[in-house]
Amino acid sequence: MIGISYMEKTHIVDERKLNLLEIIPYTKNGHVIPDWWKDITLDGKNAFILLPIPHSKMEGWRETNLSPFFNPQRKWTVDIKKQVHREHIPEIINKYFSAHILWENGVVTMDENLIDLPDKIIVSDFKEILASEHEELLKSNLERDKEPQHIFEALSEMLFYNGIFIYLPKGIVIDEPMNIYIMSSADRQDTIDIPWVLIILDDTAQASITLNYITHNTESASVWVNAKTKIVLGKNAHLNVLENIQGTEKTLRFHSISAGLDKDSSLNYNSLHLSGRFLRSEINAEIQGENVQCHINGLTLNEKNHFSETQQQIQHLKGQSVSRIHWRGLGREQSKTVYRGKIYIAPDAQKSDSIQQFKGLSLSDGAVIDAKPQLEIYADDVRCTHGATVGPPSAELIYYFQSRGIPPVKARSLLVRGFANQVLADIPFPNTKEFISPYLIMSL
Amino acid sequence: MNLLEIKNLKVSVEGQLILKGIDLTIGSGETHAIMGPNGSGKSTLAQVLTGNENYEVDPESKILFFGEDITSTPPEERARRGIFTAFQYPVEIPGLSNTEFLHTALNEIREWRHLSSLDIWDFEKILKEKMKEIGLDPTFSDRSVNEGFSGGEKKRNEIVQMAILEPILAILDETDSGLDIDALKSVAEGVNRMRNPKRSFIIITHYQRLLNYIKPDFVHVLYKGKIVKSGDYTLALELEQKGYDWLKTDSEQELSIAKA
Repeated sequence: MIGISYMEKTHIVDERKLNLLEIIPYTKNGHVIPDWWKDITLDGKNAFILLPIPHSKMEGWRETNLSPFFNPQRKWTVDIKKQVHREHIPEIINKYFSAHILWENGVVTMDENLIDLPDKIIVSDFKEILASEHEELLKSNLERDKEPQHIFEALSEMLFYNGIFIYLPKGIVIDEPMNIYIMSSADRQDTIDIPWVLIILDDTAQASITLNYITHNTESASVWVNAKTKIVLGKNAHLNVLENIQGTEKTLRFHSISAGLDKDSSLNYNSLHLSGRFLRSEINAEIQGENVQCHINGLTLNEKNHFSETQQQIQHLKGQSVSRIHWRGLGREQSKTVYRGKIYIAPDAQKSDSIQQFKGLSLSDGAVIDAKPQLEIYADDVRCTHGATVGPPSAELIYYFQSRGIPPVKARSLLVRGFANQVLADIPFPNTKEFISPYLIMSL
Repeated sequence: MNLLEIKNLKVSVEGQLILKGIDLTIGSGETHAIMGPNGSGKSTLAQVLTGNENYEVDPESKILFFGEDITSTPPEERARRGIFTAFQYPVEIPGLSNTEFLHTALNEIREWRHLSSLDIWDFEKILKEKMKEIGLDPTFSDRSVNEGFSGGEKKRNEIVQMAILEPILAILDETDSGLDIDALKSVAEGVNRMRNPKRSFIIITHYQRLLNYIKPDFVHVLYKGKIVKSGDYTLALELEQKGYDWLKTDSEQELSIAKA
């Protein structure tokens, strides 16, 4: 433990944090950084110093081994790129989700075909918004509405350097999905990337967005992606999101997604966790008005000795709204998959309707799948159900396939496909089934 | 050569002897009904012929299919050779369409028989035709196998599968149970359409009702794991009139005489 003087106070700082505290987040690219922006990073730093590194005795962190992130041997750095290296994008993603907006370690590029968007839509990086008419909108949405819950949220603020800003003013509708690529890369040494995404749909606006997270690293370097996404939906605004998360053997991810849903709005948030050494994804959706539809669907494919954890919370703060969670996890080899889902119904949120369902399929004895769905209900006139099942493919089903001439190996592959198809059927993006097909073959 | 020969079939489940030495020979084109009260071992016989590995078959027992010993052949290979079982309780396969399931099954069987594989679009047309014939809504081809199907629809779907896979030996395990009279008729019509001199059937049933529509060549009564009586179709009628009790008494008497 080492004492550090910061903002005229002295704290004892866990030495595993020191390297991260040395990182200087700003870039000198000619933008004047306003005070509110600097305050985000300073407040973040303060919180980062004060908050403990979570450990297995803390609620919500029992299954999460954070030693790959916080290790005194690691020297994390920030490496902001001058340009996006499109050549590092896997062909299969480009084939299904042709890139419109690309991020790589803090630099943002727009594709030429984005010009077709209606004029009033703002698609930009955060820095371009500074000193424009939308700076106030950016500022008010980036500033904290609550204290960081843990050190990863604090880190996103402390090292905040840029982000992708999407704003649809009132009534604007785009039919075709907008495809965003968030590439994080480590060329020489262990690198941390802090992508922020802010999506604001004003009243009655509608959009469809894919968020494609990929990493690129050299053999000796790890990538830590500390991603933060914020979604704000106005009255009767409708947003579909497909998140496609991939990574390498040296990818460590911490993703935090928060969404606020106003009256009559709908959010359909879909997530595919396809690969990568470590992922913890936290989704927190707040239903702030009546007659809201909030759907979260996802599929985790987990293998090797990888770790994938999903923590979700939907908070019904107002009544007469519907929430649905349908999540599935497929684990093989020595992988560990954790699902924590919680539906919270506030005392005023009468006539809430919520269904939460998790299913896990373990394809080997060594694969661990741990699920805990939870309900916290403070209103009396609600309809809420939750359920979780985890197990290997049923021997009875495999026998049925065999009795029709299909050998067990093929039976298992069809069962895996069937298992995934059930959640893919709820994902309103075309070609998702085709896109994921090769990943399912890999997961056998 | 006989299509199927079962020799001294003894089968146990979890150490308990269920089938106590069955001998049965089935020739090509024959339809045999196996009747018997609950718990007599009818479904065990169907499962063992299908190749269910949860049943322990005595090493002395033999199942020969066209003279070849298939006693320890895995179920998928028996299916490829032409054995099909319409199950009493067909399972549901969520997320996998009838078309995809059955297309895979048919191509596995065709490959084993050195036939070219069928394109999925051509296959789907054939499947929809068969579904119509057997009284199953053709749009069910896109639905997950048996998922959300009623009991009758599941049974019809088993017959559709049989019609597609064109087995040499079809075993119908209590296909009539839980069927209303219309479903029973269309299932029976489906079976009768498939009867030919090269294809044989084993119809396992508790009641004679189905046999009004599918006339068997032979009827066997299974009781306490043994075939206690065999005859022609009139035996089924007799059973319908008298129930199983008279056989129980007869066979128990025989058993006690044998013991004495």
